[in-house]
Amino acid sequence: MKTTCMFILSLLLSSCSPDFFDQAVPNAKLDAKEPDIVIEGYCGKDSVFSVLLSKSKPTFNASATEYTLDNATVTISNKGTACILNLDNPAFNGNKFNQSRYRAADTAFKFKTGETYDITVHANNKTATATCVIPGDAPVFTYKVDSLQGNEDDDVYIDYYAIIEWDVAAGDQNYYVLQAESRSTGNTNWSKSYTSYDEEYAYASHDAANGHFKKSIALMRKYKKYYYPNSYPYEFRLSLVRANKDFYNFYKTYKLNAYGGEDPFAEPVSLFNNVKGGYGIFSGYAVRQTTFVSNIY
Amino acid sequence: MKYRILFLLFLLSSPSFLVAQSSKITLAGYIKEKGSGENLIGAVVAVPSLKMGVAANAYGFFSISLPSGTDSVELIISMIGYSTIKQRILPDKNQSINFSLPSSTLLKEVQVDADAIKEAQETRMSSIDLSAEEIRNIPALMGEKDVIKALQLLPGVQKGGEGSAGLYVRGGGPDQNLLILDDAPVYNANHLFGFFSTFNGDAIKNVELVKGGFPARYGGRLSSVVDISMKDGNKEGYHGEVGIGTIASRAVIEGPIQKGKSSFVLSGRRTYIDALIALMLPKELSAGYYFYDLNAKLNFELSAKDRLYFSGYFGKDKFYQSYTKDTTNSKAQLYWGNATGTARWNHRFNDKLFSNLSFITTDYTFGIESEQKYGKQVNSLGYLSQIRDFTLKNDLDWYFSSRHQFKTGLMATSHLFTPQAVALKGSIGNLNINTKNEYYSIETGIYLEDNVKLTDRLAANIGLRLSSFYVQNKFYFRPEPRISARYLLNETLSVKASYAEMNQYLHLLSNSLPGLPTDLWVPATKKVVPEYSRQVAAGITKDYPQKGFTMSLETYYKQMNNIIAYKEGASFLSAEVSNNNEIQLESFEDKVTQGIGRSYGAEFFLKYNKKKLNGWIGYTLSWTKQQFDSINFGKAFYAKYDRRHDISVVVSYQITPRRRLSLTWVYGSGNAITLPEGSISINQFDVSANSFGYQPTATLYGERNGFRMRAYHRLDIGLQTTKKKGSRTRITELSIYNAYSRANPYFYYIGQDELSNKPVLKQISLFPFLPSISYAVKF
Repeated sequence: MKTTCMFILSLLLSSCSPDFFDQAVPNAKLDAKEPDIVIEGYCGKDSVFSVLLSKSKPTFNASATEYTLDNATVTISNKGTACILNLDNPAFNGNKFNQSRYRAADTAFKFKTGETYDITVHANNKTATATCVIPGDAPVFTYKVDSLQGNEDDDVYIDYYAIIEWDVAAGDQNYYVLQAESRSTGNTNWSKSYTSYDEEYAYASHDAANGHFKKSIALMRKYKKYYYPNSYPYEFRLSLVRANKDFYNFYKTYKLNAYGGEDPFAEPVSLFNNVKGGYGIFSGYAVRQTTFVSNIY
Repeated sequence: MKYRILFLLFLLSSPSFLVAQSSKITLAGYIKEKGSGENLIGAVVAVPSLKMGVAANAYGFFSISLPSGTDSVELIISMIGYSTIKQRILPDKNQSINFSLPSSTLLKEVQVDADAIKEAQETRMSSIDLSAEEIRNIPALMGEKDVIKALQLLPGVQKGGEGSAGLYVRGGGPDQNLLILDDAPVYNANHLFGFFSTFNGDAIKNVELVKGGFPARYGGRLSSVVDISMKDGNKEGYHGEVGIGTIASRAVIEGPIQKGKSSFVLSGRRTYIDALIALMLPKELSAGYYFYDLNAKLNFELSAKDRLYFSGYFGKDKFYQSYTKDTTNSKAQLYWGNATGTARWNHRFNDKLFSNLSFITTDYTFGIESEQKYGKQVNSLGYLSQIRDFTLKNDLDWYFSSRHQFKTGLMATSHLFTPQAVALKGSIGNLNINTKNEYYSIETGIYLEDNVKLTDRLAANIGLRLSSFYVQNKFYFRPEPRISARYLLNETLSVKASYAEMNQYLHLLSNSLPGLPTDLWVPATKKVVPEYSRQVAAGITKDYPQKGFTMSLETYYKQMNNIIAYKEGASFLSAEVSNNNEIQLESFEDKVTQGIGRSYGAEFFLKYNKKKLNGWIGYTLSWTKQQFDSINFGKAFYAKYDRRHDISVVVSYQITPRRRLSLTWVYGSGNAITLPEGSISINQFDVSANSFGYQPTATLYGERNGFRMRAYHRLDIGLQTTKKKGSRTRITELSIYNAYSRANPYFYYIGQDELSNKPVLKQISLFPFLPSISYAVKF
């Protein structure tokens, strides 16, 4: 009996080592996974093309430490006409960006409505390709500026937003994105406006109520404690972008994936991808814009 | 077309239907356990000379029609685990007759009679019975005998993960199992996050698992029915059992209220982890966990024709914590529990017609409560998820003739679902939110089944169930045809086949995480339609009565439509802000998606009942895939509980009259999980394309459920020693869980290598080699 008890006790003690409860699971296949090419490219009608390239960072590959991809060969082509893109990283202060920018060397290479374009990226013995079509013109839209008062951390704020309305044709199978930008008087560059967290990113034409969209987009938020008695004229630009289904699917999943991680109970989100041999999004778009000056700032 | 086939089958059987009435006598009565008066469910009365037989119903009642004559016939009354009785009767008139079968006691070897092994002759398929004794003989985690854990050892049934009390039957989810305790559905059968089930082995008489070929009397779930019968209580004398285990103690007492006429049984179990923890905590802190079960049953034999049964179950799990110091006080609790109640009235209209009228109530509640006081400031949170049912049902058994036995009945259930209710109060900003979503619905069912003997070799159970569900002014009506048939190739070998359509009007929303019981019961609605399945199965069954075992091989294919899952990115916690700035719970309907599931496979089952040795070997080979439009980009993927190979070996060996050794060994292919395999960084579309902005990273997940965890295997050992002294029997059991200390995966996470700091895939395991001891005294 004594021997049996000792045997059970020794087994119990040996099986209760910390390694039993929490141990590594070696998996050579996961460890050996190499980074893949990531393409982020948007082809706008009549615009000069630039594409952002990067590498994926495999979770278990310790040597994959950064996203940037500065050694790629990039070609964009349409009906036999090809254009090489060159590395053209913007200057940065301190923090390195996660992506590398490549610009079309030939400024004459412009995108045309209805045309199909292919992109090919070679880097680190891997090749990624993607295809997109430039959609038709974005529809005409109307807008109205409005405001709503809210409360955050015992401080009152006013949200200014634009209500934008447009119609979609019967049977339309398009996808839309709204963007608002602003700049102070005299500034040449536009900056993206404040974005509300709850803002939807893209809309599908089949979700339009009776063929009509009425959506709002945030322009700016003004806190009472920073409230100045005087207002200054500020310029705003509203853009209604017509994109395609791949663009819509990518951003729907991207937003959930990248911003939904704070809820521990949230289900995992698979990221849409239209790049063969890699990841990312390559999409055509067309844009319609309007600008206005307001004293709300 | 299928209804025509059913109609034709009814017509085919009609000649026998018509001739059945002439020159027959009826023999009817109850089959009970000798010494206790417990009704014996499924005991068989056979007349070998006439190749006839009938099984007792859920109340031990039987009725058999025999040709009248002047020559006596021999009846054989048998049941596994009981000594067989042989009795001659003269079939010259209708007779009421009761039988009492002597039970095999703990001190004797298990008596096995060749007459009791007749699985090949049963019309039913895909069904397995487990007796309380079989469940008791299986070694268990911490020595806690567990019905659900015993069912997990059967072929076609899988457990979720280490320690889980969930049942995954033929590719179905845990919500697709109808768990009924004395007719009352139990919605959450888990204690302590699933490590133990709510069914206390002391109070259980019999368990029947039906995986396919569902008789029409069952409905409401797609994948299985687990019909658990509580003990009725000893009508002859007072008996009891008190047991002390590693984590819980239990007691059961039963006896007559009026000897031979009425009885009671009361059983309880409670853990004492909280009492041990309390000794170690400072006085300002109180924290702990407990669960308890309480089963009670009364039964009254009012007359030869009328019986009343009242049974109830109450169980609760509770985590609690409170802290008090100076002007600060905080307390929190998390709890869940079931309460069921059943009142039944049995009435024998005559020797051929048996009725049972039931009124059933069931309640499942999950809640979180928390309150913090800091001086004058008080903040509180209340969260509740609940389902409440009231059911009225009537079942009739009509033993029409020796060839036809009809069962018919109807039921109506009122469901009140409160998937989520939240109450928030706070001193800051006068926070006061009180919101909940509720759904009221009515579910009904009406059925007819005919257990028909078409020829001496061919028998079938043909049935139709008409089910309906009313919710949000929407009325769903679904016919559910059922058929199972067996063809006897010889006395001990048969081929069987079955087809069943099932509908399920309630869904369980489960998230992918192990841990909290955050699964929510929700009804079918206008937008979220009922689940629906079709299952076809075929197999062979062979009995070896002299050798004491039965073997079956079954294959099945099941398609499940409108199964439910959270959309990608959805969470059970999510709320939304309404237009007037009020916080409202997001409707579950917006968070879920519906799709299809397909499961197919083969199951092998070898059950042996020898004098000293009994147990079984089960093997399942199966595939389960699911497909949802809005998950995994519409591509089919393996269900997380898809398991290619599943093996169970259960052995119970009577070493000496006083000692029994039990072993179980299980093996299961690894569970399917989704792994984050990498990340990418995106700038996000900017119409001006003139700058880099915020570049959040997105996680790249591998193929949905495309990664397999390690295989699971484990050996458990139990040694039971019984000592009898006078009227008392002492039972000591030493159990060893995970005898060779296999580190089985509970869940995987991404951690860091301690030396290189590089990310590595890590596994959490729960239970190593774990001995436990329990002691019980029976009197």
